[in-house]
Amino acid sequence: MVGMAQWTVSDDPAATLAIAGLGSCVGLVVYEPQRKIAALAHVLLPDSRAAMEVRQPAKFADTAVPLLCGALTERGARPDLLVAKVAGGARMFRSPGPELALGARNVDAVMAALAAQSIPILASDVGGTVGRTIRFHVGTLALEVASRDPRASRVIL
Amino acid sequence: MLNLATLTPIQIDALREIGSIGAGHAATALSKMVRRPVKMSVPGASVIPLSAVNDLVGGPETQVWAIYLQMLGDLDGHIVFIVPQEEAATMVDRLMGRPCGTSATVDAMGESALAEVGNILTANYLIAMGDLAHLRLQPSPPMTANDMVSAILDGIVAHLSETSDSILSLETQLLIEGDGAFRGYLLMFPAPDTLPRLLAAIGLWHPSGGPRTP
Repeated sequence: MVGMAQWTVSDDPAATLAIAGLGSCVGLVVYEPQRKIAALAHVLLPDSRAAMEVRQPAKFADTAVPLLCGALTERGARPDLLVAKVAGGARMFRSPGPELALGARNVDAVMAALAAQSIPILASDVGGTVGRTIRFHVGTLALEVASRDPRASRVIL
Repeated sequence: MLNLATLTPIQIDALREIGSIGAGHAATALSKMVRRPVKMSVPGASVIPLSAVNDLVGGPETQVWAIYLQMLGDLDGHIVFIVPQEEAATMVDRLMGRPCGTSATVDAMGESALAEVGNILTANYLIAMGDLAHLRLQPSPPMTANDMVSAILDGIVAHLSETSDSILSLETQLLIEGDGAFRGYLLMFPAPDTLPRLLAAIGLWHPSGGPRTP
């Protein structure tokens, strides 16, 4: 399990990279399909510029994308083959509040950071009002998203 | 800006005491509403690294009802009252004066009852805390959510962690025992930016900005 502001990378085909209980946070998977190397970050916030010092680059969308790309290429991934899958960024509370727009801002920032590195997004399950648990299976490159949404309690991306 | 890692044991103890007084007032208010004695756990105060936030309230995927308020006024912070899913219906029955077991799930009326309780508990918490520290505090309108606890808390944690890699959590468990037993968790997260104001109000912060050494 990857905790808040944490990240992981793996090329083990038996490995599952997972985050339990994503709300407004975003689970960002970047991988290289040929060599089957994948990295997952648990992103909390859109923008690192407000922080005085970034000790946990996986925390922010704009620093998480370069972090994962670097970790993947270091392990032998070809940078031009990297692709992404994204889930999360929900709005958990039913009435307006300070957290209202955070999920949507996180999703937008992750998308923008991926676009800046020319990484295509192959699949996404974002927004809405339900929490998600995600599991990325390195061997099959499938992202499994579970939620209590009655219409789609389990989807494979 | 206060680095939570520099809080001294004396400051943490004082914050735990503030949390305890706030939660004590909340427990009294709950006891009046359900006309039953309410037990309070030993209050906790801890600085939690972001990587460990998921372990709050029984694991990240625990299904809960949560009532959330933002603390406004002289201090910034967040208060959440959390009731585990399976106990929320019992709590609603108690609040409505119905035999426990009447409701299988929390309906719209139950949800507004939960929100009202959360509102009253947290307001009592804030009033007690404000009186103690001579600070003006007010709660935002309550917001409810029903989902995995980690999904509910992550937006609040994000808010607190913009400039910090850990969060300060003051937590107390409220327990009603016997027939129709239920638990609720009161979590209070003071924002690091205004924490010096709270510590200064209780004499544990130098006007110069540094922590006072005992």
